[in-house]
Amino acid sequence: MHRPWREFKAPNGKKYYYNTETKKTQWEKPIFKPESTKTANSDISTFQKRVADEKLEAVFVVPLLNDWKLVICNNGSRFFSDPTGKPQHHLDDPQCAELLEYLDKDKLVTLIGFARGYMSNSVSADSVYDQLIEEILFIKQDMQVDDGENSNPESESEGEVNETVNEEQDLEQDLEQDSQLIDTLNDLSEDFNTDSTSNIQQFIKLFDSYGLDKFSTWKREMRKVEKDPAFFLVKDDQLREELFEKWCCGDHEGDVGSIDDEDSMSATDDEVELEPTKYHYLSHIVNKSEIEDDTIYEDIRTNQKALFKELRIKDFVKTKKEQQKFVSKLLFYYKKFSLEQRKEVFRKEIDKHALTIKKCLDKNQDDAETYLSKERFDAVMKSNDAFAVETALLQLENLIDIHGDMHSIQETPEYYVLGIKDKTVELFNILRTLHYGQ
Amino acid sequence: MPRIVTSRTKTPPEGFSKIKPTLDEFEAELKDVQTAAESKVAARGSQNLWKVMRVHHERSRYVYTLYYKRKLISRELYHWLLRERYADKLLIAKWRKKGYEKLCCLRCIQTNESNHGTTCICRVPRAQLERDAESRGEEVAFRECVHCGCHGCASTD
Repeated sequence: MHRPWREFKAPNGKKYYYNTETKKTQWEKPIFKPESTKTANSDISTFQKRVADEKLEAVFVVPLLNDWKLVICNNGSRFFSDPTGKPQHHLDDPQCAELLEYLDKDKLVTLIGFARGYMSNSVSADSVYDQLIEEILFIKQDMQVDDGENSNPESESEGEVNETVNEEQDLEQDLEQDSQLIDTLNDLSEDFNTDSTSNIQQFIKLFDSYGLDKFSTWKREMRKVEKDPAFFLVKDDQLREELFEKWCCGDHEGDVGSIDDEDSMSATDDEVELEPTKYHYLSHIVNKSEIEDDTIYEDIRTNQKALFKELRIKDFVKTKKEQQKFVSKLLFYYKKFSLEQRKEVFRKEIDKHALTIKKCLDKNQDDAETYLSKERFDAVMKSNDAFAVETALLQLENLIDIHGDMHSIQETPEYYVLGIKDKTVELFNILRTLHYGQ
Repeated sequence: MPRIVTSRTKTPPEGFSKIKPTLDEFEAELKDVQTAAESKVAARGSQNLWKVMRVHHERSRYVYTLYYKRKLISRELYHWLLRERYADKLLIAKWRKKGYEKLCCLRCIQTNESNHGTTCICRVPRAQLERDAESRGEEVAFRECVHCGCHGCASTD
């Protein structure tokens, strides 16, 4: 008999199987499929050999009619035992065939599954077996009644002639059933081997329902859940641990995600995402610190260490050298000029870009109207809320497209010589005059 | 072993209360091992030591996953834990390298201390051990290493 399946070993030592005909590779041991073209006799003999070879063990024996029995083996294969007790591959009894037809196929399949080692929480093998036996008894009674009615039209001579034909039909049906059974069984075994995604999801739900501590180790947390039946949906302990670790990470990401959502929500409220300019916070720190004649960058850094951290200066200006360069330039303005003079410097700097700003304002006509309205701005200024003022400034900066066309102004220290509040007022006034022409 | 808490010990950063119960359990486990009676059989003399090494490894691993994998603790807390010796920072440094993801202890990769200038047998992948044993027609003889009682810590295992 030709055998298409070959056994190989993977580099990790696990066996896998390769079909030389269909060129398929799989981890699972292939199921023995009897060949349909062989004659019945040789088939049975090879089958018997096989039974002897593979040390099959009968797991379930289902009694049928006329002393025929259906035997299910531990590898899922099945054969019929005739009245003399010999194993037969196909059923030689029309009544039994009829009985099998009436039987619940799903139950039979699950029973075969159990014989192969499938485990389930919801049903036990014994209960399925008992149900099946009960059903057979019921069908038997039913058929006996039927027989009593139908015995007359069925003459024996006709039966003899038709017997061979019937047999062939039975065989075909049997084979059809066989292939169906095998298909469903394959599905079942897949379920059983590679923990299906639904199982995994159910397993992960367990963590939430028991409220596991994601700050703990799997070894400890496992004790809380190991009594739950859902715990055994995943068989491999290593996989369980991996899932737990994933859950710990995922949960955390979820938290961060929700925070991000909130942020983006507030951003959508304002309808524009506001991003501060490169030296925005650094200049803010310089503005806040007390500046003597001999103040240098290092003094500011040591005095305002907390602010440097809080405002994440590093995210905007990466190297210390760059920070120092900028701060020393700013310090020059703070030391040598008064507030009024600095305002003048700021205005001059903006004036240099007047043309581009005007273009931007024209482009964002609608936004300009809303952000440059006097009442709105006064309300913000009166509220004296630092955050609101800063938002107003960022909106104005957005208006002149500071991250696009006006990118160059971000780099010039003259743009940062004022504190946030003064800067907002100045910028507002300049933009108003530019937009409305006086 | 974590350092003994004195008046000079800095207060733990935020978030320590969340991981304290687990660390306490490690501490209790370590105490149990220390008080357990040692076997009188010479061959099993170091087994209690192995248990200590195991707890030490597990605790370091715990801190490592909290910071690098789950990202649940802050940088400050992580460094505080390292400074207070709740985790072995040299071991964690190795775990971050390719090929040492599951290293059991530092002694097992000290080539200077071994006879043939090689690493410990627990560093050999299990599949390789099995293949070699099969070619010799024997069972795999390796159970655990003598340094820390590791059953195999190759990255592929």
